Amino acid sequence: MGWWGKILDWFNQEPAMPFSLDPEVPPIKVKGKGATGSYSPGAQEEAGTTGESEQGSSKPGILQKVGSFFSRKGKGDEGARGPAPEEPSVAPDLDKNLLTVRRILHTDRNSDVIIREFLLPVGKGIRAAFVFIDGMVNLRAVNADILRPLLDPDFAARLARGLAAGNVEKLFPAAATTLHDSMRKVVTETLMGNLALFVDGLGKALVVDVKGWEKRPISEPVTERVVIGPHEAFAETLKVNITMLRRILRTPDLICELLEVGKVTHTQVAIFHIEHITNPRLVNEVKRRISSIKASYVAESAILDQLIDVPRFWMVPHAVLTERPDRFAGAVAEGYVGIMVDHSPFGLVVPITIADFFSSAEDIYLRPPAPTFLKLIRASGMLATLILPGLYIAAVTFHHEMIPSVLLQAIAASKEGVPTPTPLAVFAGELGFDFIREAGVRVPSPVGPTIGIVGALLIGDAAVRASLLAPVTVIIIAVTAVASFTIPNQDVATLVRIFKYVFIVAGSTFGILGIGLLLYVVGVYLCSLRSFGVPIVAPVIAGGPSARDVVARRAVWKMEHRPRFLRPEGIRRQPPVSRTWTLARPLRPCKRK
Amino acid sequence: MSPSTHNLGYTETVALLAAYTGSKVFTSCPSQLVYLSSTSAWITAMLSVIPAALGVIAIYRFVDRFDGITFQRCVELTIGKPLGKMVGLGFLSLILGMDAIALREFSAGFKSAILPETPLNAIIVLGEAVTAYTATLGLEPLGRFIAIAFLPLSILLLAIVFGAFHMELSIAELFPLWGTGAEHTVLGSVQCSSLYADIFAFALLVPYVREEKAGQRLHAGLVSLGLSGLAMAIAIAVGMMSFTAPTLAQMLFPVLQLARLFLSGIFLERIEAIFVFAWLFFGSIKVAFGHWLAASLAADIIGVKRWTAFVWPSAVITYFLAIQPENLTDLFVFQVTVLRSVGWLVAYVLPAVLLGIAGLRGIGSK
Repeated sequence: MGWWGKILDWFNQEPAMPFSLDPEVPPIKVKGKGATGSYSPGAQEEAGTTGESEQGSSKPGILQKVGSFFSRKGKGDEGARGPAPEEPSVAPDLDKNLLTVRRILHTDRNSDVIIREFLLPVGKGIRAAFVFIDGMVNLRAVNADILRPLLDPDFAARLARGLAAGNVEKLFPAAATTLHDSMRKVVTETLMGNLALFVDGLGKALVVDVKGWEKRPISEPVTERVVIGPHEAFAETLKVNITMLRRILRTPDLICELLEVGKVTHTQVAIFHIEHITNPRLVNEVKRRISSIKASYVAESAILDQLIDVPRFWMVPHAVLTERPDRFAGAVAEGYVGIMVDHSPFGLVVPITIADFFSSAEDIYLRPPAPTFLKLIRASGMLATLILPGLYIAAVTFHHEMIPSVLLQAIAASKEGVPTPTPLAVFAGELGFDFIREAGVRVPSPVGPTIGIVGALLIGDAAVRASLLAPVTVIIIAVTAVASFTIPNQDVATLVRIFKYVFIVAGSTFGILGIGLLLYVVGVYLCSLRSFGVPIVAPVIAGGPSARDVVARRAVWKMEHRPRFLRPEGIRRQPPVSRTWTLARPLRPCKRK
Repeated sequence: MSPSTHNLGYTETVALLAAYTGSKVFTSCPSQLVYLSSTSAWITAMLSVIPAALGVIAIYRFVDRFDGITFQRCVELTIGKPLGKMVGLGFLSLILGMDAIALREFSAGFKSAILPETPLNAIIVLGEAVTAYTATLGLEPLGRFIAIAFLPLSILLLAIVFGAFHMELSIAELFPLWGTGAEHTVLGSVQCSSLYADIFAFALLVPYVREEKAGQRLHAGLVSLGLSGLAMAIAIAVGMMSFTAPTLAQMLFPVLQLARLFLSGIFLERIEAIFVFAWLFFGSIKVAFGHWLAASLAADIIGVKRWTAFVWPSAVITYFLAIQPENLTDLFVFQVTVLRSVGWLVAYVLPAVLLGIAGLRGIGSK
């Protein structure tokens, strides 16, 4: 296709229709002269066509005709790469199988791959071998549950009969055994910590679950500490995390589907939702995105979060990252979809909304109006972090009228003898504080707080004494720094810290006009974002009973509806009267006789 | 362009149209009305809503005949492609012209109010870049943003207006009630309905509005028009009570002058800088929505789907149009003499004529 054809095609291409949780839009009927038929946006999205679907536009326009002429594919464009290579399967011949395993697992160099051959004591003896990765299996289980029974003649005889009948899965006392005929699957299972047993003449491999490696026990959350509420966090093992979730949500409707991502990591990903509550379109979209990932390294939730992101979302977090099982379970019960990644102590909750930027795990445990008040404080803290330095520069440099005369005199007096221009002073101060913050995170923990205090003293006190910064500037930097710690979401906090500098530049060049225009751009940009079909500003604009709960939390017994923007199958959390004891006759004090 | 890519709710539509039409209160429009109608200007502002509402009904009836397709396609189906494209170009010129006027007036206002030393050109370029970028994000984000910001900003503005009542306001300045005469006021209101000619945007918006209840789209159009009329009437009335009608007629930014009078206690001595935020958001939405209207209409006229390709070209045209007038006084005179005379004909009468033709030919009736 030539460049002219590409340009015309681009012009004729309709902007992609965003995914939506709304039900399919019924086709619109247009009657009358010159207008017949119907169009359906949903159908167009599914078909993936870019053709005009409006009335009277079935005939292609001149530009479309020219564009399609230039965009015609040449003969033989399709299928040029040929068929995919054939996948190796488990052969009846043991030697052939072991050769394949040795080749795939590079046993000549990988010293932790253990292959042990032995004879099953049946008749003249049947050759067999097992394969496992040293350090990833429970050796005690291997010896007691597999090797010892295999060397027992009775068991070996039963195994031989089982092999002949084709049902050997229930012979071993181990937790789970499965038969596989795909060599790729067998090797993957081995790399996950299972043991693969090959028997000569079988044509299949028996995979026994004997996983056992050193792991961190369940501990307290690091990033989401609370005073009220459970004090346990997710661990790195997926099974442990699933168990923790099942302990909270004891319903048969909790569905946990496992997928595998990562060409190199083969990471297991669990997708949680509750049947009859969560919107199936949301679940399917999550599964579609995860299953279509072709990345090689997916070893953490945060990486998966970026891989299921949409292009316009790249700056703003796409999912709530939480290490608390109670928060995760609460979200799943609300109709959100939860995602857990093996080897990650963080769960992902999708979709995200702007309310999640200010929400803390503790909010649900507090009595109203405390959660609403705290959300307001966090939102104000975020706004202060974002615009306070820029606003200060704008007020001092361009808009003196904003500041009362007495205060203006005081500021002018404090700036006397300070040669540094205000924008430069604020920029340098903010940068200095970010140095301290980053240094505090990187240095060993006993020294970290010391660095913070010393750094703050250095920047604050010494800079004022040296007449490099005015005291008011130091106050502004300090207030901004404290306010930035009120933002509970780490991703958002980092983003706000970065954008703070953009606001400083805007305030320094165009004063309040620059700050206002930038706020406007940020606002419209946020309004343009959708997380899995849900506008992230949905709680603020959607209206309905759920929106009030998300923004301003009411008493638990008044929270009757799930978030409406999720389009859940079950909108009602609880009946209008959840405290049925209030319907009973009130107790009256006994009358004294 | 297919309307399937956008989906506006009722609140978003009302907020967007009210901001687009009503944000004129921040420009010289209140002064223009006082210039034309003297002390009865605030009554004219409300009376003008009636012919404008009839125009809105005509626009709605016309577009609703062809439910689900864009305004330009409706026009082309009604009067044929060649003539339809010419009419579309006429509407496009009107939209670009009004966008340029808004951009120039808002930029000049910011310069005089808060950035007197910054070159006007720099402010126009900045405003143009920002609004064009946000227009490329689409209609839904603009609608959502203004739906969120509309209420707080309106409350802020009302606080300013009602705060002004603490000052010395003279109700006597509203008299004589009928200004140049009752007959002149009533008849003049038809011409002054040009003030709300921006509501023509409703014609382009209708196919994108979600209708959950019957008649919701028309209701949205009428409510937004009513809100604009109310805002204009309040701004004029309070302005007249503060400055007197003859003085107000000479002001280029009467609402800004009003904000400058307002003393908010000890801490904020003058609130015009805060007022600027409301002014800024409404102005930005107006210009950005204008870009979207121009781009979508241009894409429809040419017959391509990628409307975003026309946003930046329309921004460049708007920029060159915006820098044409020597000064704001020239722009003021142009608006009073030309736009007020023909605006209502283009915005309301032409769609009514198209509705008539479609009705006579029986095209597109549901």
